[in-house]
Amino acid sequence: MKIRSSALMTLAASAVVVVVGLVLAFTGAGIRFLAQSLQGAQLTQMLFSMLAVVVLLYVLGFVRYDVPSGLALGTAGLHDQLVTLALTSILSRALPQSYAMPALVVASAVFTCCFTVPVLRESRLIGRGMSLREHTRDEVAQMAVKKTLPVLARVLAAALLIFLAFVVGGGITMFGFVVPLLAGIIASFLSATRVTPYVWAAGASKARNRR
Amino acid sequence: MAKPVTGKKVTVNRKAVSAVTLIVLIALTVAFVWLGMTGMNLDGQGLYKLLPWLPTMGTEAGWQDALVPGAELGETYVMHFTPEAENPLTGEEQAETIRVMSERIGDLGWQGSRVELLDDGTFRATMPMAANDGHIDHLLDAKGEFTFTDPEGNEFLTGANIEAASFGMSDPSGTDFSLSIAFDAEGSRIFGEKTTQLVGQSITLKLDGETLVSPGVNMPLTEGGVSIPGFALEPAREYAIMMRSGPMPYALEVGLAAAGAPTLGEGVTDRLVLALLIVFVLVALFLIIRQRLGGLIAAWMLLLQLALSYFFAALMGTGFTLVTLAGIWLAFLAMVLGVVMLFENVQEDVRRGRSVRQAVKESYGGRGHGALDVMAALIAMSVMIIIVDAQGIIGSFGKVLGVSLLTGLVLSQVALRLILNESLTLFGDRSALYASGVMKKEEA
Repeated sequence: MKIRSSALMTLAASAVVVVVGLVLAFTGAGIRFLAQSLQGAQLTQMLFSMLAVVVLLYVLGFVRYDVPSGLALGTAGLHDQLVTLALTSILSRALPQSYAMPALVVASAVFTCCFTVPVLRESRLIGRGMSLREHTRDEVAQMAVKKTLPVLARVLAAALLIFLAFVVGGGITMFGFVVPLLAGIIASFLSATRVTPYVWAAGASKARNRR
Repeated sequence: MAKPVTGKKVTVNRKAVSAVTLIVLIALTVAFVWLGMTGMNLDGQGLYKLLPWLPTMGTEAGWQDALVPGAELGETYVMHFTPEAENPLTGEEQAETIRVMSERIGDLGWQGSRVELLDDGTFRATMPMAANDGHIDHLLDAKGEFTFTDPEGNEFLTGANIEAASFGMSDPSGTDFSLSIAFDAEGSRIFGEKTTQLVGQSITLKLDGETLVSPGVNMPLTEGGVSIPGFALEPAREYAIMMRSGPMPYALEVGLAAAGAPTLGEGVTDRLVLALLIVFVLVALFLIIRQRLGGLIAAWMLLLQLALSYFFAALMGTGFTLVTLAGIWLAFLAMVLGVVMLFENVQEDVRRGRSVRQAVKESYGGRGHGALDVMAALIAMSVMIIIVDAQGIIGSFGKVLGVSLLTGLVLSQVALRLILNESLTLFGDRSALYASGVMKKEEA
């Protein structure tokens, strides 16, 4: 299964961020909180919830669409959840987190669905109407991203406005508290435009070759 | 031969029906939002009141009774504690004291509270004002060391062997409560052996050396747990919480206790409410400018979604916290996506020469399922995280998100479609009314 090189580079960069962030989170330093550290049970619940979200996204994508879409949606979920947690962990060094951090990290799945599902749907729609002689699946994915970009941009603007409202309302401390939301927005937009369409394309090409 | 029709044929003015439908729905929306902002007395004496639930600026609004602010957003109750120790506490003892106090406060449901060590070695606990129920000091100043003793006063089991503790009603009268304790393996063995020896006698449960209760032992208790009746509600709750948190290194003395500012600063609620209102207005303006009458209807549905989300959050008792706000406004974002996708498809179809009515029908058909897929996926995700973390913060977020999404789903897929069709009947199928810069070939 060959994934486009630009998507692989983005994944590699995300992987570096994830490794750094998770090392900071789970060893010695830990995630910095405003009051006291997260209880072990809360961290466990967060990790279980993240796993549940990823599995659910894969299953939903597979059941609702097909295997390549399930793979792409599951990849998006995994990427976004891990990058959100990692960025939160890194930024918590300067901006202490609140008790709500576990919920806000898991909440990045909302952005995953809002950004990735429209692109996947468009990819499938365009791909159904085109033969491989006209365009490769990578080109179909690129067209889908371009077509859905206006919708994604508007939703991104709305998401950033909501984030800004929290920061303006609550000040610098609130900025730290809602850092997981900002991390989720960035991770999800990045994966929806640069990673998951090409994971879908790679999966769809492989499925077609098998036939 | 056909029977002649004798009755008078009544023709329905479809436009009048649409107008009446829209007026009724607008009136219901206005009434709902008005009630949300002002509340209402449900009886003449004012004994029963529908509390306002929509956050507004100013402290007199009263919505904080329905949506109780957490410590980060509302008035706080600040308590100071001094350890009852001869020597200053070590670092480990200080950390353990903070852990136990935080766990006890968190067990009461007061998320967002803070326990800090001050420079002079004392502790400061900051909680939501609603935590000041007259019992909180009992919970936070007690060391919390539980022991079981035999009739001779010999200690045979401590709280270290307690794995789980809870409380419940002993009888239907609701005046007597039981403390239910589950021991670990070691504790189960010791308790089983001791109760076998002491059948017909009694054991004593002590807290910090003081006797709480001395129940008789009727039979050996070898199942690994015990349920001890004879407590009032508040003591039973406090003892169960103390058993779950474990003991502090030292008991604490309560010092100054007073009202304090929110953790995020004075006036944070007003600023946040205003900022989020501005976000809604900006989103609504964008939709109205771009989609004109269609955008106005969409903005109406978004307003209704927010009002209903806050209503259900107040009903569920989730409070006015960061978690509640995140759940409500992320569901709002999902509905914005649905509306934007819908109108993008409508515009595209109108450009191709379809009527607005056909375009709306087509958008809700195949192409419009994108928004449905997003919302359904998120609702399934909410259910999943509620199952994984039913009692915790993540589960609380899942409940608010799930309910708000369900509201948004119904409003965007049913109500919005109904109202769009009624407005098309009333105002006509003119594309200029529903999209800016788009004209069908015939209109051009």
